[in-house]
Amino acid sequence: MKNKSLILVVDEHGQNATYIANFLENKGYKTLEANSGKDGVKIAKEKKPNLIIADLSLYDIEVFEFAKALSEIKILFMGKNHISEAKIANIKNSIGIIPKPVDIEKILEILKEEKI
Amino acid sequence: MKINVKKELDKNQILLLKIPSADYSKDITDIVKQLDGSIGYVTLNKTFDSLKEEFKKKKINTDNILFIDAISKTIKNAPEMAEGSFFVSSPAALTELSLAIDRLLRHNFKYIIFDSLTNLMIYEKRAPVSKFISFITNKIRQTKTKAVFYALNIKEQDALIEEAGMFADKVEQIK
Repeated sequence: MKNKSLILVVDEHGQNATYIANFLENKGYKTLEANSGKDGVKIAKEKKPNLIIADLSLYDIEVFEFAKALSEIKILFMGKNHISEAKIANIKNSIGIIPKPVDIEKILEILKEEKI
Repeated sequence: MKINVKKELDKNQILLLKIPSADYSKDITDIVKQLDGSIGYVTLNKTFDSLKEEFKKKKINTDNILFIDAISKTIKNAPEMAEGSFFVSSPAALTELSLAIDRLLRHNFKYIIFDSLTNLMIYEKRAPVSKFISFITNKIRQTKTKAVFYALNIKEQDALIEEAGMFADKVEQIK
């Protein structure tokens, strides 16, 4: 079944982004990939995806800066970094954190709950 | 306070703590002091400002705490969120409260503190409160987050506290 929602996957490890994007494409989503935080911001501003799935450990941009630059778009974070969950949950457009290795079915569950 | 809450939460996922009203302020800071890691503190009793102040006085690092404050909006104009807090319109806004708790669960908080069931009863009737507790505890059980529900020792609310105890793994009376 085709789903018109567009999802941007941002991960500096290209194979991770491709793995998630391919899975979502197979589920009918349209996807985009970015291999750096700054590229992610640029692509998101241009294409305005319905959701961004982004690694918490982006080396070229700070998490808060990344989320603030894209404050109108929901972000689902992956993995871990030194920042407390309390600080991430306090970011208005953050909808959650999924641990790595990513449970791909969990992403689908969240997309369903978020009606994306 | 004699109970080691952290130890109890190592063994149990959901704890219901009955707190004597007279020691309430001291007990809530003692409990937070025992816990390490991220804490989602749902307050239906004091505003997040006053709680944060109390915690700071007791030298508790509040960087790891996100408050869900259901009081501030009932007494003043509060935004949707502030640094360290999200605001819910009132303790009676059970859907908003559920969504806020869901946010904590989605962000893998280590602990959730719900302060308190007794305060919830001031704003809502027993049936919707019971339904809410059942819904929230079921949600919590789908995650690894540990939760502590507070209830003040108030005679009139014994029935609700007893009922809430059924949803917890352990009920403890703080002495």
